[in-house]
Amino acid sequence: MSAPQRAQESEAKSDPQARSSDSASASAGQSADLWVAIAGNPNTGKTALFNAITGLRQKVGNYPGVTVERKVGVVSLPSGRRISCVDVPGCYSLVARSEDEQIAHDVLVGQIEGTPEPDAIIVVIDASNLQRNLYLATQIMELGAPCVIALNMMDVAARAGVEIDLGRLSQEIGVPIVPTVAIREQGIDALCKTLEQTIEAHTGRRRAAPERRWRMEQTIEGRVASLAAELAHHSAAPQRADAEAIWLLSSLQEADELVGINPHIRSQVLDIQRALDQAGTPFRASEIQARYDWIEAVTQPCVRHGERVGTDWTGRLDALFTHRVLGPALFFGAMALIFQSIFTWADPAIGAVEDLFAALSAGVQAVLPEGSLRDLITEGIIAGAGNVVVFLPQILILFFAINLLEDSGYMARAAYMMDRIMGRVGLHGRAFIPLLSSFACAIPGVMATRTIENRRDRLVTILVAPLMSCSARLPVYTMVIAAVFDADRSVAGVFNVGGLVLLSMYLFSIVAAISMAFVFKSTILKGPRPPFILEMPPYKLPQLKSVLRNMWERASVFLSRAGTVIVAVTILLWGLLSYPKDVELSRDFEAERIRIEASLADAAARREALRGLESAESAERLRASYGGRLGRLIEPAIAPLGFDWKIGIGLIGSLAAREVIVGTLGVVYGVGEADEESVPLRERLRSERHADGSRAYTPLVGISLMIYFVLACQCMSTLAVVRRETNSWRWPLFMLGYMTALAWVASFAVYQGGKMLGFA
Amino acid sequence: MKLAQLRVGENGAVRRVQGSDESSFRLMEMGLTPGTRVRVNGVAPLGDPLHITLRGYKLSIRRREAEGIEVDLLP
Repeated sequence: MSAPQRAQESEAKSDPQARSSDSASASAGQSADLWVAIAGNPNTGKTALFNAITGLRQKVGNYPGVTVERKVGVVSLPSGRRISCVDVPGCYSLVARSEDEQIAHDVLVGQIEGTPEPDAIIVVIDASNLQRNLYLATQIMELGAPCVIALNMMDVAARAGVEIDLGRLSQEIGVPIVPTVAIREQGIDALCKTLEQTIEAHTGRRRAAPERRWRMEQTIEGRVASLAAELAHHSAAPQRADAEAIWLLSSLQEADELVGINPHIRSQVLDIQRALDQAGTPFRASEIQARYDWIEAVTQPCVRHGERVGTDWTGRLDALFTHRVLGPALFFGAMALIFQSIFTWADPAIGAVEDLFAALSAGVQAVLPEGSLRDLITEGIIAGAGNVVVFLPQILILFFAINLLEDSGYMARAAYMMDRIMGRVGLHGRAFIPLLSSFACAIPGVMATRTIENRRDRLVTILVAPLMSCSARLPVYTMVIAAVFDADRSVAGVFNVGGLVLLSMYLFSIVAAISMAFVFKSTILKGPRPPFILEMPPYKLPQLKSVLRNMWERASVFLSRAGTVIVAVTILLWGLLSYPKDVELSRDFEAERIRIEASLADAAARREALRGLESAESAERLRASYGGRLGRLIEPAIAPLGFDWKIGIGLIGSLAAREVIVGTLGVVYGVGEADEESVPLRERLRSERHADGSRAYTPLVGISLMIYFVLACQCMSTLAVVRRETNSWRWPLFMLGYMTALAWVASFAVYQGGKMLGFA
Repeated sequence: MKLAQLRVGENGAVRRVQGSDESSFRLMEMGLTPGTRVRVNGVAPLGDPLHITLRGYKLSIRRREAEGIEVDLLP
């Protein structure tokens, strides 16, 4: 783009207003009353194109009422004019039934609140995969809005030996075509120029679908014509009657409740469908065939398939990655590597964050006078924030890995290999990706189940997704493992005890998820399996920029969704655990403290004695606090699991967000206090003793606790998202119920069983 | 014969897609229409799904879906 425009862009980029304002039009700026929509198949580089033409002036949100992501940006046209731009969800057809595709259709016809009918549509087409991409294009062209085709991935096509006569193709289709390579930002200027020209050429003209160029056989066309005539009668846009007729005949089903359709028209449509079925020329099949026939006729003279340039990497890599033995082996190897990196390689960063927040806390302590406000800030706010941020390194690593796999095209292969296993428990191969995402956080995982068309399968996937050990459980595992095991002891030279225990927790969670899916599919959500039709995109080298960007977006979601809850709950818990302050203590701790200070000469012994005294006092005060009372209340229910009331408080608190238990135990054990005798939480857990002197946190208790966390639903945010995705409270409540019951039973079995076997 | 019966490396031309449910239409919309040339690239490690090439791109479908697609074997 030219220099003045670039300057404009960087201004907008650094303008925080443009990024954070709520309404799309505010970020769109001055003259943006025009809208362009960007549509296309998945895997066409549509997102890269969207990013390229909007720069960083984007706003991400949701379409109203659903959790489909909406991205809106601003495009600068060559004349300097700025228009709004919306990125439509990738889809293969506008008639199909998945939610993404319905949203795509609705956005393109302007039926979605907040996004008006587009004044122009950019259709992104993968040049190396022309025919299937053009299918969607034919549907989009019938909508009536002026279209421009961005023929993307020209580089991939060139390497595959595909040569396209753009001029001729454009003439045949009837739409301007601009070649682009979006990831290298090539062709963008030309695209914007053509876009502007197209918009200008159509302003003032009434919206009319271009003359339909594909044709079915005469009998069918006759029917379509008569329906169109009927529609023209009733419709406000008679010039689109033909397109509307096609749309109705292909998408209306008897069982449908499509709102807003004249019942007379509706019955006519159904009649025609029935008649054509009986004549052996069902409408939908004929329509699809006719479109492709036309596409073939049009592309055949315009496209030349030459020799492939260079190696067929996709073919070669597929031979390796989907090999009968090597495929799964490499896959599991990659997964193990990711887990090991989360557990071990994030350590330096974690240490740094811990130090940072400890320093922050100490700083505040030095500045503020002793009292409630200081405590609130250090033990509530700073501690809470620390508990959130400290796990960012691990989350970032996990998201980085997942995005890398997705962007490279490997994920589709993984889903392909896993389908059979998933199928055995009644799940879809496509459920693999949401379930895998749930390893990072169940929230985007649950949202990703949208690609599963069948409602029952989708529900099952949503119900078991939280069983996949999410990154929020990681703090719990890490804390427990470090406290009860000799985590760094090496096993087989490559792995260590900590890594292996962690891996087994993850494996256990997978087993749990699969089992529950099987149970659900056999009982309450019984039904036939949906089809598995998954595109395997060509492998590509993931762009670091976009992987990092996605990784950060996901992390931000975690921070904002879970982070705020965690800080709030930490503060609440601090309150529950610190108050009431005026309680009766069994001993005069103050007097004993003075005595120790006076009598013990040896500094080390004195420190030891004071520490012991402090623990005892903290424990008593806790027991007497509101939180302690609540914990004691549920203690009988959790004692059979090996837990005491302190863990009880942790469990209650972590109902809001799992990792809260870490912060809670921190408060419970007084680790938040920054004085020279403070020890890190794990040390504290290690040294914690019951009244009879036995270790409170034995490996058995640790495992019982981790098992509880694997299975229990300790996340309000997940429940909220499930509610949004299923549109009722029934499923989230069911989820809460079944998971808590499952967790209790499993923990009970593990702890009691372990005791019986002598592991206590 | 059916697509499911083609062996790895074999080519076929689609004769028709059986059925008139959503999944059949979806297969057609993805390009499996009468006359389309398909090649079976491989099979997943556990025997299912299949990996095919058609119209210049690669697609994966289950045996079950492939059982509903009539094809003619091509040399």
